[in-house]
Amino acid sequence: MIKEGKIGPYEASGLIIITIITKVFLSSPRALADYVGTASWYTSIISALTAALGFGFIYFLIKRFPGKDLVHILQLALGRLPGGIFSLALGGYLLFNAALISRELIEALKIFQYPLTPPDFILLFLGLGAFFPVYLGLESISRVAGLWFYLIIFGLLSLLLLAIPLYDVSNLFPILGYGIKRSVGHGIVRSSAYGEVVILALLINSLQGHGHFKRIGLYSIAISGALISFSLLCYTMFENYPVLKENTIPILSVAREIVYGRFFTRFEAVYIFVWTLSSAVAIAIYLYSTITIFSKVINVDDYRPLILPFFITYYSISMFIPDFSSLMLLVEWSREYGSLFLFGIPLIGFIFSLVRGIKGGG
Amino acid sequence: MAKPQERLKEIFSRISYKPPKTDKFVLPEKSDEGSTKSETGFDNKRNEYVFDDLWEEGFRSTKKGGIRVKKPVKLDGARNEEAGVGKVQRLTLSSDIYPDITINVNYFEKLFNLPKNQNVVIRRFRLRDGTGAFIIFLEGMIEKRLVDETVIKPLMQLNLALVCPEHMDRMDYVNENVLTADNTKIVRKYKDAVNRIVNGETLLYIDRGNSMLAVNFKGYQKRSVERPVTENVIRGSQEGFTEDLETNITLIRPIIKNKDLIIEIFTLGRTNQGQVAIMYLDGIVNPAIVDEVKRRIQSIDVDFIYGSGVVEELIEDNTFMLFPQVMITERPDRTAPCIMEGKVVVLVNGTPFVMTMPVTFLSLFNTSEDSNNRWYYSTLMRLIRLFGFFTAVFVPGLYVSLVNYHQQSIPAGLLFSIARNREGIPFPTIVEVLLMEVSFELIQEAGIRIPGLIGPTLGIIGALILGQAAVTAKIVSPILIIVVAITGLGSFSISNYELNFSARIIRFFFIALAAIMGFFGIAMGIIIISSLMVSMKSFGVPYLAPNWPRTGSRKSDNIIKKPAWRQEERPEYMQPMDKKRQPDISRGWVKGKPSEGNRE
Amino acid sequence: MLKLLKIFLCIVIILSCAGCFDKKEVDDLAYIVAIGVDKGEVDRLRLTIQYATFKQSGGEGGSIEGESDGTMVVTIDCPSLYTGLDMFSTSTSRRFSMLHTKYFVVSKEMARQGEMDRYINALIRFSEIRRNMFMFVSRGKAGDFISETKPALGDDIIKSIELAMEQPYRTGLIPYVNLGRFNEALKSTTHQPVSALVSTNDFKSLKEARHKPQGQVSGGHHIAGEVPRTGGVKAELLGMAVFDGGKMVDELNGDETRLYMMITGAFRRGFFTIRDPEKPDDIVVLDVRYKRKPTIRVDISGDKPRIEVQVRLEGNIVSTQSKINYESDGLQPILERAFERQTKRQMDSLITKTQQTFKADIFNFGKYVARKFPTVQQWEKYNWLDRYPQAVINTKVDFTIRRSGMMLETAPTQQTEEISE
Repeated sequence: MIKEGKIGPYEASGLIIITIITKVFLSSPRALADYVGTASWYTSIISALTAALGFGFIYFLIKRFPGKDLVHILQLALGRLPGGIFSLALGGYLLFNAALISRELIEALKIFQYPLTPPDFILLFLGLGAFFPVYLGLESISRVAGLWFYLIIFGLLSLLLLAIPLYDVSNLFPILGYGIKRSVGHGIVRSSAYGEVVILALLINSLQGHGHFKRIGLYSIAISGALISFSLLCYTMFENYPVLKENTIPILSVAREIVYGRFFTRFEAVYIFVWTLSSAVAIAIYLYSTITIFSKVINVDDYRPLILPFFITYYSISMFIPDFSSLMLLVEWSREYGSLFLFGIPLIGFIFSLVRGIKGGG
Repeated sequence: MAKPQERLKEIFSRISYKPPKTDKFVLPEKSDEGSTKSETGFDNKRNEYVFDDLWEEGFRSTKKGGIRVKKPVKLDGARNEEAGVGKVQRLTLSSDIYPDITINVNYFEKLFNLPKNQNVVIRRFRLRDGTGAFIIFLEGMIEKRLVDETVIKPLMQLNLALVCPEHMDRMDYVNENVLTADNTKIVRKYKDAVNRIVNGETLLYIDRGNSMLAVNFKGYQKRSVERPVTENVIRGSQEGFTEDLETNITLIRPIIKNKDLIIEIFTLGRTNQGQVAIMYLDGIVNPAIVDEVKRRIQSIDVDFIYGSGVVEELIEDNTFMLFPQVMITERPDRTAPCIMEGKVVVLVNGTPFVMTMPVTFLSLFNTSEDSNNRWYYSTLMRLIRLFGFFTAVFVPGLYVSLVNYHQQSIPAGLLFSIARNREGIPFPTIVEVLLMEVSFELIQEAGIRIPGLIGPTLGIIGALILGQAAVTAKIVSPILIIVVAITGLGSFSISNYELNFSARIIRFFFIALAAIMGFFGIAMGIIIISSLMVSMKSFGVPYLAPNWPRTGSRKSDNIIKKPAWRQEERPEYMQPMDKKRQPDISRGWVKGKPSEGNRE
Repeated sequence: MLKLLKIFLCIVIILSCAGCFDKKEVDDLAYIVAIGVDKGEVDRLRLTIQYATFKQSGGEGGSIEGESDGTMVVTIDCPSLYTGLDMFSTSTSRRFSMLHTKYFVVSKEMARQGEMDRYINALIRFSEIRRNMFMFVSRGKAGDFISETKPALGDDIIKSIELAMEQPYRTGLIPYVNLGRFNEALKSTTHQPVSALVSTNDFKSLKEARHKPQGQVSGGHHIAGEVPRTGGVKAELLGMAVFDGGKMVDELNGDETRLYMMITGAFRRGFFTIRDPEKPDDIVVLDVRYKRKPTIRVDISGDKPRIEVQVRLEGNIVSTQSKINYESDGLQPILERAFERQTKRQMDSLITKTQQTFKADIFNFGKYVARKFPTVQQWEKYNWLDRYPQAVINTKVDFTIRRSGMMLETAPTQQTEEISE
């Protein structure tokens, strides 16, 4: 068994919330505005509700096998080899997501602040930042998340609230966007945005019980849903809907236009901090989950020797993407089909365990 | 005229090379590790004293040592047998005290290298009945007048053979009936005797006894209790610890008048026998912490313990983390509340600083003044100290990243003025910053080392040369002086001296990261430092408790000080045995009524 | 742990040797304060930029042409803005940076060509440029405006530009438009862009008495470049330019700008001069503010969209020349009604002008219309911007006098009869 330690509900929810809302800082709001226009803010709520439903299945699955984490459950329900393969698929998706998020962050940083710095160099730095918490273990990652949780939320909210003079409620209209059907459809498809709650199922043994697991998961979805929805609401109010899809890094564009008097005009600095801190935490937990999934599947007791190979893989995937437009394509792909991995795999496990009537003992 | 041969020799000697004479001292390399047995049969390394025949040994030493004993002391038959005349006797530090005065005098002389070591006094005298006795002590370590009056005087007037009952051990009798000293202890091993002697006690031996009596009349020079130097407060006690362990204990005792305040003393250090005391309040402290502290202290096997710094480094969890893992304080009134919270205090003889452990990061920002001031003021001050810490750590790094990477975040007017001032300065900003930071560190270090009399000049140098001249000479830009000054102020506002050091070192780390990548670098540095911090533990307590991880209820003192009546619990992260500090309603008058006639 | 620390230190050292790609010292850059675009003669564009020289004003200025007050103004003909900056580098030692560019000014000539969107897009795309940079249209040459923009007070050009852009809130004589808002309006489905109008004043209006008021007493009927004044800085900001998409269609004078601000809800305060309702030769000066934000009601049920605009204002009497006691309860409504009538008349004529002449909804009525539509498809099908000229727009002005300043009543001036006749 890998020694994972215990994490409290506060740290665990902070971790999941940070991981989920990291996407808001990147290009996601733009894509949503492109698809559903003015409806993005409640589309995200629909996504959150869908994710809560998916989480419910994960919860029932976990509850059937007390004391086991998702990888072991999958192996029990599907059989050792298929379960392992499905777990690895989930891990692979998380690794891929980590690579995408870092690449997105790097591209954004390059566009906005460091045009001459090579992307590999920025990634090396980002990887270094993520490496330390991963090396030091789950407790460390979760506490770092807990430590900077308030700062990140405060930074995000202060940026959004300071921009109030820029908002025009009328920009929320026409209220239904491109039609309710399209909004709901996209909302359900994009529930992968909240799919990170599945990470909780991997860390179940550190969470001190199923009650905690359920609470943490639902709270995380609710809080991050509220935050994401609020950010999208603010962004929608910021500009008329045809203009929304212009901005590469939407929330940054909002932040850059904040003006209070002649001095309080420059909030990009706050943005960079909030942005990079949350991304580093998210990447750390993605990689940690991937590495632990792998070590559980191959039955290795310590995950640390695997860190370096996985970091190299992550680095390579991230650097393999040639340009920004293909990155955007991949990100869209990941958001649209992500639910299949994040919620689909536990669902398969759930169905199989029901059909085969397997139940785990303590 | 000298002989031609000699002349020739001289000429030859003039033209030939002779190596120059060297009288320099050379430290020879140690040749072997063999024993250093002297001719008297004393092994200096193992403190082993070997003598083959009691009588002869007695004679020989009489001749050599020049002790005025006319005849060897006669032993009675039984003792003779027991001593085993003619057999090889072996005395070591761990053996029992040998029942013969000559042997003992001899052995102690050997042990303390007596003719060479003039600090040790062995005073021989006789009781009224002629029984030999001696006291041994270290010159200057004892109160001599008291020894004369309470030990030597009563003994010399004592006819021990006459008054001592048969069945009673003579030393016990002396201890109980004769001596007027108050702090005595009977020891039966050479090891204990030697330990007590080097600690400044006086040891008495009476012939034919197999024990010695340690009389504690410590009377060496020590500093009196003064105001603390490193931790100043305005409102609060003004006592500071001294170098003496016992004085320090007596400074804490009066604050916590409780029978359960336990003090355990350990002797550490192979060569110097340093004294280390641990102090805790039984019934409140979690025994696991005490056991762990004791385990760590007892396992220490080093040569020399000269202060709390050594012990700190030897027992802390992680030597390579920058943050202090025990809290060092100079103030008894800072130590006592820690004991009351269930912490363990370690006092080391020799430094006026005691350690409390476990420690959490946020508790390092408390001062003893906080508990004396009202809660809102204390809270504000704590937040300012926390702000000072962040200032000391981040400001130069933020400055570097702002002027090197994020020019858009500086208001245009200020930016142009910075740029205007930088015209003509040949260095890049990072060099300027390092230059000023290093100079600032120099001033700080020089300020400590500088002799008191010329101290004021340092201020002139610092203010004039570095502040004024460096700007005028176009070496640094004026805004940098402000940055460095703010940083300095921030670091001085940190109440904990150790934390101040960590802040100063981490600052350079952040300057480097800022120079490489600007804000992004700093953000990554924050992640790295904070992940190391959260994974740190001090004696099993997470370093950032009680906030990260969150532990238990919030009724204890944290960064925000609660009013005295709201601090109902001891910190949860200490896992104290008695969690409750006071009842929920600690101000009884809230419920009660004022006296009749004074009611509204 | 020590090993980890050592490895980490090595990495930091290696990185610091390899890093610092984007490091740029504050004084390595030349900060552009203003960008102006005119129609070029040699090439497509005539680009004028103003950048800070970090020199104290009043020093050894004048040795380089174009330098004054700590800034330098240079002009170049070039194919595009960014190429132009590179071309400037042939004569400037430092790299140009647009991190602190305060405004972008286009000549009317260029704006009339209908290609504004191209330049705006180019600016928005570049990461150094902030969207809260101001956006002007110059009636004369943009280059002239930039070179004539000098701090009238103090020597800080940035400060004087920033303070000048607080003018919309002080007087309402120019609109507050920055690059981001202009860009939004360009692409928005609800309204059309406007921009502040600037110009250089040659001080001839005063001497030659052109633009003499005909029945106008408001003082705000001028337009940038034509204010009858002399002395001070030549550059001035007054009025606004109206666009239809990327093409400038017309200009509005100061008074009209104030009305525009009143309808859009951006108005803060202004001094208004009107004719005395009792003695038309005399004037009354009022200090006017919003009582409440304007309310706009839209009805699209009919054939034509109907819009009700209600503007509620309040104000103080600042000056009454006629000595009629308008402060009194009975006379106050006369003044109020007079102001309401005048404002409504002007407002109606402005709205008619936008509908018939400009065919551009600059008031953002469209955003209220959009609320009536549930989906984007329906809204886009309705095609508001084309429908705007047919809209029936009713205005309603409500004005209350609150206070009369330090005087509660005007006591009659005592003079001999001879003079008063």
